[in-house]
Amino acid sequence: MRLRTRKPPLTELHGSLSRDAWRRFRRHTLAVVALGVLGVLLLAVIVGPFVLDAEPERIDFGSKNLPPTLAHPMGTDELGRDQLARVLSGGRLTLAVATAAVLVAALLGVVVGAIAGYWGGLIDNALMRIVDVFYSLPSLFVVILLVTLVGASFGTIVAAIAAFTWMNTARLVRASYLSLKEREFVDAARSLGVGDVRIVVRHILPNALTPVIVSATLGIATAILTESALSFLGLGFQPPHATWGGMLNESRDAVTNLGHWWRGFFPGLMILVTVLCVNYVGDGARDALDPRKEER
Amino acid sequence: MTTFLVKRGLQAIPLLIGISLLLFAMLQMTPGGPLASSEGTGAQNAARVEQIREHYGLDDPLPVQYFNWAGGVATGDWGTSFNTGRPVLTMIWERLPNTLLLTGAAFLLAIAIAVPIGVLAARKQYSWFDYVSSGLSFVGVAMPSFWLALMLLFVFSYSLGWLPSGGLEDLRADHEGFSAVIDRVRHMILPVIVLAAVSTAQLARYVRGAMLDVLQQDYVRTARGSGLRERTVIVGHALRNAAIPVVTVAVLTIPELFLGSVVMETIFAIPGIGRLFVESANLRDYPVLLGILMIGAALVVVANLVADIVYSLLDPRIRYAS
Amino acid sequence: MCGARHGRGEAPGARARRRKALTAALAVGTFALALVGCGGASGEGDGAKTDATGTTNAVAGRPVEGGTALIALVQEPGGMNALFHNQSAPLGLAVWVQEPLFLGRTDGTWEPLLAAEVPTVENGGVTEDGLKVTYRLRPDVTWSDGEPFTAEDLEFTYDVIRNPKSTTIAPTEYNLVRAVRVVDPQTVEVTMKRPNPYYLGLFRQTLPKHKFRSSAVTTEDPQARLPLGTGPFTYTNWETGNKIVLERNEAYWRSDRRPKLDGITLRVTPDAQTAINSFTRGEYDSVFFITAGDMPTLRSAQESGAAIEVSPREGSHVEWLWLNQSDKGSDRPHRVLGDPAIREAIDLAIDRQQIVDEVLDGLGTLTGAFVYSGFARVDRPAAPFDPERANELLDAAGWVRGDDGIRVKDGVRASLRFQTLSGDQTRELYQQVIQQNLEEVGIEVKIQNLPSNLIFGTYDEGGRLARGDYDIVMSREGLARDPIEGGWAAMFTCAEVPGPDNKNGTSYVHWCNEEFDRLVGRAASTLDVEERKDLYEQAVELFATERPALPLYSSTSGYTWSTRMKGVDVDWWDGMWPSAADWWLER
Repeated sequence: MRLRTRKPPLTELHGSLSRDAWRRFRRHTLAVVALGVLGVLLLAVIVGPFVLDAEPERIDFGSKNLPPTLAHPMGTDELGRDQLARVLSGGRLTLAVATAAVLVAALLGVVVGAIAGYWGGLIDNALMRIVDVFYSLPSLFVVILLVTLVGASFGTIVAAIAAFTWMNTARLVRASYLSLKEREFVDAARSLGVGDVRIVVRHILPNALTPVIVSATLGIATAILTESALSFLGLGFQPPHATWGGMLNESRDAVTNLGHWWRGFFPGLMILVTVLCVNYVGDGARDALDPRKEER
Repeated sequence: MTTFLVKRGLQAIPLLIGISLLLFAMLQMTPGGPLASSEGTGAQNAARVEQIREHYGLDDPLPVQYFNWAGGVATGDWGTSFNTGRPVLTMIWERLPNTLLLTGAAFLLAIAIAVPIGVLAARKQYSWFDYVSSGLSFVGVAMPSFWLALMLLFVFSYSLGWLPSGGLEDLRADHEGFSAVIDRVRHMILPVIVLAAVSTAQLARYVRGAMLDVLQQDYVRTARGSGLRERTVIVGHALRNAAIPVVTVAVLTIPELFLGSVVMETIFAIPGIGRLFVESANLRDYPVLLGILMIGAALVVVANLVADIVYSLLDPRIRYAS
Repeated sequence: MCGARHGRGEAPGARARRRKALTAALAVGTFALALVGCGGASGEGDGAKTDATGTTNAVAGRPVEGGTALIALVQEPGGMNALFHNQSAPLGLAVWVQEPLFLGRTDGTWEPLLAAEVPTVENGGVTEDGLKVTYRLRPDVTWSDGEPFTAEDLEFTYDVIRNPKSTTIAPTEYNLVRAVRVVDPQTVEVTMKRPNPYYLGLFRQTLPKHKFRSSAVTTEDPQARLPLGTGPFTYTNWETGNKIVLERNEAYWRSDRRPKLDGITLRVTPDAQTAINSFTRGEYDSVFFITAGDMPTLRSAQESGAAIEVSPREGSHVEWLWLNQSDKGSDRPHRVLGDPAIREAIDLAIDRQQIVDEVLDGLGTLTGAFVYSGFARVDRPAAPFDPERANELLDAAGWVRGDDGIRVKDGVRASLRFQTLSGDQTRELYQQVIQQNLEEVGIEVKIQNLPSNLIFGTYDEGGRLARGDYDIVMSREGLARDPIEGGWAAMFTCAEVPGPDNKNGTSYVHWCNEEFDRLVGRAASTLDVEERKDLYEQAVELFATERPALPLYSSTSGYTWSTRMKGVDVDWWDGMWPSAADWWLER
């Protein structure tokens, strides 16, 4: 914000860019619908548990393993807990993990990318080799291993997912810095005696963030799927908390041996809908923020 | 061309060394030590851990351990499993065929479905077929594969009883010849479909995009304008050129399928590499874990290499340049 | 070792209200019992067999020779030699190949198998001070390759166990051995460091000396994978991930016990669910092995007409709640659990019967004794479910409920971490029931499950139990023929409390009570059976009032086999496996 007031030309550029972008985004009917659905989901997940009569953790053996009814729209589990309440509170956890992982990954990616792109040379070379190494690791295997060995907690799961999703951002940011550092406004700042760090953070960063936003949006989808896969393998959160993937894991035996389809159907459906919407929004955002690709 | 290959191949070596260093360090840094301790074994644990530590040289300085291990890997001795006392490489070879069968079948299925759909969708852009296939591929990409697996199991195995719920063969093993093949296919239908689903969706989107790009190129317009049959234009000119990026992406989906096999093998109880990995992680069988991770990493590196090579082979500009 | 199975392992205990008396079992199963692997004694004499499903089929028809039994093997082990691999299969199936010197009979007596007689003080086999035991072997025993089985093999086995370069997982009883000396080919003299009441539990598995070049034997040795033995069957090959093949030992030294089956094939199946489904459809003759969690499936399959026999086994492994008595492993008492009122309140607040009925489908029983199995088993009821009393106790002890309903005393919040091995779904279910139970009396519980190595790791590895870095941990432990076995009773003594100076201490609960030490110490060093029983009974009472650990329930596992397989006899301790020589397949 401070930056905008002190550098009028940039503000204008930004203002018109975001206005244009929003206009272009709105032309994507599906992306707008997806954004709406996500909004409703988010609201339900955040507010729902307060409005809903049922508590996600309340055990009631009198009503265990019930198929969906009006009282329990998503049925109940083997402890008689209301599945709808669990899906909502599980959604909160799922989305929190995914968002946190994406933020951590984006931060890491921006820092590495900025350093590599701006300073170049040996640092750039070394950092890019590290990026190569991380790209070549069988990521899901390593994430599984880390969580198995260290134990599952919010921190480990977020860190493990972030550790294998930052590289793309780093490459994008590096590319932006490589081209932006040659631009006039950077030269101008430099001639005014502005320090490197300040240039990197204050001057170039705001202009390099566009691709990060797109890749972060799409990254949420990846993070949700990775977290779900982990939880599905039994490497997720501790009871009584469960993400959607964790609920799917809990439901495996009930679905395939007892035929309690509702136990697995709803959490999985939530994952599908959320990831689908995030992808549509991400695609819309990419087209909106990158006018060159508009025609496609 | 040869120099290019050699150069690209040599670049992979430092990469693999870097990967091995990182993996090795990672295993050492995890808390709790490299040996699983288990429930109900009480007093036996401490003594056993000591013995095994000494036997496997786990008290040597880390660099010594790394060089011992890396030297072994280079010469084909990947160490022995803490759990079974058998060579790691043997254990991996026993499981690898199942995983390859699964991922190979899924790969072929994905290509067989994705390419025609992508081409057709691109040729009839904005048709109902395009909309439906694009929509489906969006859903496919967003599909949590394990959920699809669970639901298919519920429908085809639990409710209808048409397909087996897991394993790779009917264990009463009276099957021979043709009926053994049928038996194997029946066991593979669900896991292969699930494994292929996401890749099919991704590839179809990619094929469509690549075809749209190519169809707008001048030479395709010229070809069409010069009265060539549509079929010849699509298959002979457009598809050939669209194939360049598509093949690259297709090759890169192989490691993804390989990773996806962890989840599939767990759900469908298939004794492959993925299950071996999960089992070994639970037992903290470090030599086996390192072995599988290195194979996974090598697969990614080789896939990238192959993608590069294929790209250079298919792209006329690169071919002329060298 | 029998009590040391892990993973899916469930091992013996005892249950008083067993329907069939010992007599019926003995009538049918004398021979089968003679093959019991671990030897030992079950207090009530109820262990021999359960006849709920008609296991008397050994007399139901005329045995036919030939055929191969196909058994599903869940959880492929690293190797089949029980001296090197303490997984369930090598331990439970050892009796087929690796025979013991002595067989524990269910009435508490012992019977020689590879030994010529049971050494006692009376017959001069044990010296008055209990420090020297002379084991005499049968002269007619041969290994399945024809070589004679001699005292040299016993001495060699001890050398291997003692050799620091070997990777054996030998029973702790060997720690008491000072020396093993060969007197003549059929006689071995073992000197003990102190009197060892469990001296008949030694040499359950013996290694054939002629198959080794040195006493440094590791898991890589082929003998650690498929051992040579003296038993009714021999291993012929192992296709990893697929099957382990056993054939009849044609040269079996017991000519009266020629196995009826040509062989047994263990088919490796990656998961229990698949194995059991295939079994109920008739694809297998049995499954190794069945846990409490599999019993409902088996029962319902049987009810819907599957041709299977099911023999439940009540009173197996007890699930314990270890209550940390130290403040993070120090000498100070735990800030919350150090208060006896808290421990008693937890004991009273858990609705154990509801957990058994609702979560475990009734497959579990309750006990209140820490010696719940073996010859000294004490039949003590579990604490009643009485939340009102729990609340009163806590009120009286000065734990006052805060605004959120959780109690506080002197600024300390009654909030406890509750941990078990991650990834066990049934456990997670009753963890949540316990969480709700305790919350109702104002104790907050946070479930933070961990991988096994972090919980059970050694002191140096920072294992939570060893370091005392936990509040409540839940695990199954303590199934033993003798409380000495596996160091079960000794685990709660002061000497076993781990610390920087005692890194190998095995105590989980960091509890130190001199009276308990005296009782258990005396019981471990006298050979008088009646005195030992009495001492353990006192120790059980003390343990149950001090509550360093709380028993949750005792699991009900079982055995199952197809109706076409006859001659099966179930021993409470070792299950159906020791009777394999009598199994035959109906044509």
